[in-house]
Amino acid sequence: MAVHDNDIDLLNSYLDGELPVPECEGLWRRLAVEQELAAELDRLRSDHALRQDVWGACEPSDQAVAMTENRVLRAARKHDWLSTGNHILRVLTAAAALIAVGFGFGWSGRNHANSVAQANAPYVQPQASSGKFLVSLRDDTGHVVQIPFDSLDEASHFADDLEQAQRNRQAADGPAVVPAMERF
Amino acid sequence: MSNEDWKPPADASTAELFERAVRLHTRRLLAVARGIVGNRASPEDVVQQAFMNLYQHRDRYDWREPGGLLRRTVVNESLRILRQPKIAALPDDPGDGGKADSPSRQMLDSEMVVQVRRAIDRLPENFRAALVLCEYEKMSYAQIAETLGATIPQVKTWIHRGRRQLAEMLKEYAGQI
Repeated sequence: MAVHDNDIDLLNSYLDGELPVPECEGLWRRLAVEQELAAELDRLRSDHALRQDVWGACEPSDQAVAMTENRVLRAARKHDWLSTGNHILRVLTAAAALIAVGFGFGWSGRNHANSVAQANAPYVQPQASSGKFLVSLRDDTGHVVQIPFDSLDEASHFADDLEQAQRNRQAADGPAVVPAMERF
Repeated sequence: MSNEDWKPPADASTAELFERAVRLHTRRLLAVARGIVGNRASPEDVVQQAFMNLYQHRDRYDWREPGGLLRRTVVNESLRILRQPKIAALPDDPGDGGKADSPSRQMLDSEMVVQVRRAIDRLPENFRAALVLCEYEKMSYAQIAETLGATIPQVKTWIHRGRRQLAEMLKEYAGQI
């Protein structure tokens, strides 16, 4: 009579050391009287031993172990190196991008400020027919406005003051035209 | 003093502990990987990948007692590789992976052991992993369940069914000769 599957599982659990003590005792009693069960246990033991040879053959050679250890440690070092390199690269890229953006803004802002200042810079021009001195300036709509002065000193003084006021305003708010009337 | 006797100093860095883990566990992990993947993948690749998976997040783990963690990672990596579609089988000969002069190696040359190895390779991967952990690693069903993320009854079923299937396959082989 063939041994039942449940009994085979029981014997396997016993060989794995997973059978509780009370069940072990019960099994020993049965093994003492059931020859087929005892023969099945012997067969399972021999299967186990055969598989142990298979598992034993899975053990690697010293050479394979050393090779794998070196591969792993090399890969770990490479990972560290790449991580550090990537970090430095990221920082450098970010710094370069910030510098480039800063330069870009600075350059465009500087050109704009220059052009406005040049466009709006007042200049003094003597007018021979009336004996007056005219200060010419350009407002923000592009029109040239001329303001007459009796003396060159007054005209120059006004022009200097206006230019200084424009610079101050540009420094504070960005470029803008100071209307001549604000000074009077 | 062997590697296993060496206790890491309290202030050992993660890199030092990792290197110690590599030196201490690689042999056993290679055997576990080989037992599970058989000739369908390189156990060296499996073990290396498992170590690197852990190394990428090394600060999360305790490297003073990494045995269980490493075994679990190698088993998972082995199963992951086996579940990938279209795995080309490696040649039957394990090459440098086997002990060329060991008695075990000589046994492997015997036809019966070769047949058992082939039969094990034909088992479903969970059955095979459970068998390797049970019979080679001598782990309890509870530890195997934890390693494989399964329940104890599941593990018991896998192991018993695996053995039954092996017996059937070997009976067929015995009937042929």
